[in-house]
Amino acid sequence: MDPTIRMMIQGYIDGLDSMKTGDAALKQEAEDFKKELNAFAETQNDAMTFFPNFQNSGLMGKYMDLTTRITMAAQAGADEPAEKPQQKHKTTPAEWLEPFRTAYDYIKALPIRERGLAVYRKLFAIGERHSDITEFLIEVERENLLWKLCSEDTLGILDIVLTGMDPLYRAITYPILQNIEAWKASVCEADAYYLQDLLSADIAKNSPRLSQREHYVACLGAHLMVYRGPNGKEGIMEMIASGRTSEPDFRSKATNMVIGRQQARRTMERIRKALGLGFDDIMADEYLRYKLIPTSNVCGLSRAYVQSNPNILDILADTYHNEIVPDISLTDAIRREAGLSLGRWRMPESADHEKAAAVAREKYRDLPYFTYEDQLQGGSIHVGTGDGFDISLPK
Amino acid sequence: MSETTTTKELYGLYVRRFGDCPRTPYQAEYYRKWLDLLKASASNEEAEEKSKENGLYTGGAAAVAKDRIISHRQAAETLGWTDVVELCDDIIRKIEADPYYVFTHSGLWADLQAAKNGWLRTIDGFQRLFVDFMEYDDTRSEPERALKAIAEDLKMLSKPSADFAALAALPQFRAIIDCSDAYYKEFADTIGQAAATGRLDSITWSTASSKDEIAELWDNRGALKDVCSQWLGQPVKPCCVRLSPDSPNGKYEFKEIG
Repeated sequence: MDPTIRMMIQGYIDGLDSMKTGDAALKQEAEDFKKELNAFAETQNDAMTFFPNFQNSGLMGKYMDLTTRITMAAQAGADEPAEKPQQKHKTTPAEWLEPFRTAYDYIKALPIRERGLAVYRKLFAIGERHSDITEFLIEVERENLLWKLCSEDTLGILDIVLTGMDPLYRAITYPILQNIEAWKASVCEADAYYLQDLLSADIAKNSPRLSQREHYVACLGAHLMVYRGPNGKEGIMEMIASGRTSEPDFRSKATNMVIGRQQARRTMERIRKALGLGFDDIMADEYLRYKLIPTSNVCGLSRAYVQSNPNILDILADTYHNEIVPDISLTDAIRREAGLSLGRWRMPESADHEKAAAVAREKYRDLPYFTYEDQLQGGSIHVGTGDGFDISLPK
Repeated sequence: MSETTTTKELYGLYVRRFGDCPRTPYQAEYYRKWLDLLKASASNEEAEEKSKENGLYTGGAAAVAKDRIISHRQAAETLGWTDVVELCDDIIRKIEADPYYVFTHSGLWADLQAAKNGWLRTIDGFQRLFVDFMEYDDTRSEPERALKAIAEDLKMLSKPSADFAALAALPQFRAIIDCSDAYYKEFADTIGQAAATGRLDSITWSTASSKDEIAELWDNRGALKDVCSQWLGQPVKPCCVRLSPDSPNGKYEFKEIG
């Protein structure tokens, strides 16, 4: 059983246990209710949907009825059999809301759940406006507030999670955006289960699909780097300029240029065949072009990256168009550097990662994800309603 | 307004919400019966007493459970997951026969999830096979490594078939791969061949045809010294942090970090 649900039902069970009665029939009824409550709780996967289901199952009404009768029996005399009182005590909205106040007190320590907490407050405010339980429940039902306790809480968290992501990185934003649409559309738990089943299939199909073209582009980038980078052309130029030329090392780097060139040509041909994209199409894509170079996430869920200076992309584009596509010799490839002034570049080091992370955190410090990052990553947040609803938050 | 009138209004709202939602026929029916009972009773107490006699008093939890099953069934039907549909039908039959079945057989949710997982795992395995193919196809230099990965991923296929070729021929599996039809055919043929024969072709990358240009480069190293020195003398541009925009249509922002 979900530990939070266990805690919640224990509150009801403790409440019953604390009510003394000498009436054997009522005692038995209380024991039967506890068994039924336990069995019901076993079927529930998530604390947030527990209350609406508890209400819809009729068990909450039974609990209220049972506790009222035990109280009335106690008032009538513990040793006398508990007959149903002529004037039955009617549960007040305040009494009905008591378990919700317990839940509210439990989650209010997590401000990330403000959207869900706001629904609780709305519920309490309606409770204060009514003395009659039925009139109170009518207003609650008109606004479908019991379901909104769950859906608004989840939507609030999903909205916050989204602010920690790179909006151009569709493979990771897609599941969150689809979940938001599904939760907005749902009107009850069964509806949410239906939408989530469809969604889990949709995400399984489409989220990896959105990242497939990145693989090709990353492969092309790797081959261009082998050709151009410190183990290829730039390594050779550095050796020649410094006069420290070891022939085996020189030949190894020249071999990398040859192999890198062959493989970049083949990969580009495969990209053209697979995706119908040319090199310039890749360069024109604001997200895809950075897959040509090594980058590392430094902030949130891929909200910012550390990388070499963007001039590396100009260098790779120049290399591709003037040295990979045309059949020029390795010597001519170096000779043509005479007319170029694209500058040099370097790979990020660990100090760069730290600096990049600091800049990014400053930039995004007011975004909700970063305000609540500790709560999101502390394991205290459960997004979804269990049983396949979960969205695991990337660390 | 009398107590019975407000209670009927409340149950009428339940009937409307659950009746409007195609996923909750059992809860809609449950509350409709309650409404009928209230209409036929002089007081709420009378309705409650009658509900204990006709079983309605304890019927809510079973209605919630059955609607949950219905929701999974409807989704499975939409997705064409036939075995999940059958399992849902079986569970509903058991709950109809015993309203407490759902309480006494809590493992049914795990069974249901396991049935769904078979389909999800197949989709995952098929996607992985495409990544295996792309990685292999990029250089075709490590067929052994690719075959090992392919063998593992083929084991993930089960629904609606464990046979890769059969799956690859289905439009719904074609739709989850982002590539042209021509490239998809290569993917399907290559993985099909690997699955059937346990073999993949390989390319041997060679510098044999470039021996002369490597030798030429070595011989010209002296003549290239000025060009290389000029290149080396250019400033090294600092690394950057790339900051993502606030919308999918935005542009990245760069800040140099030294």
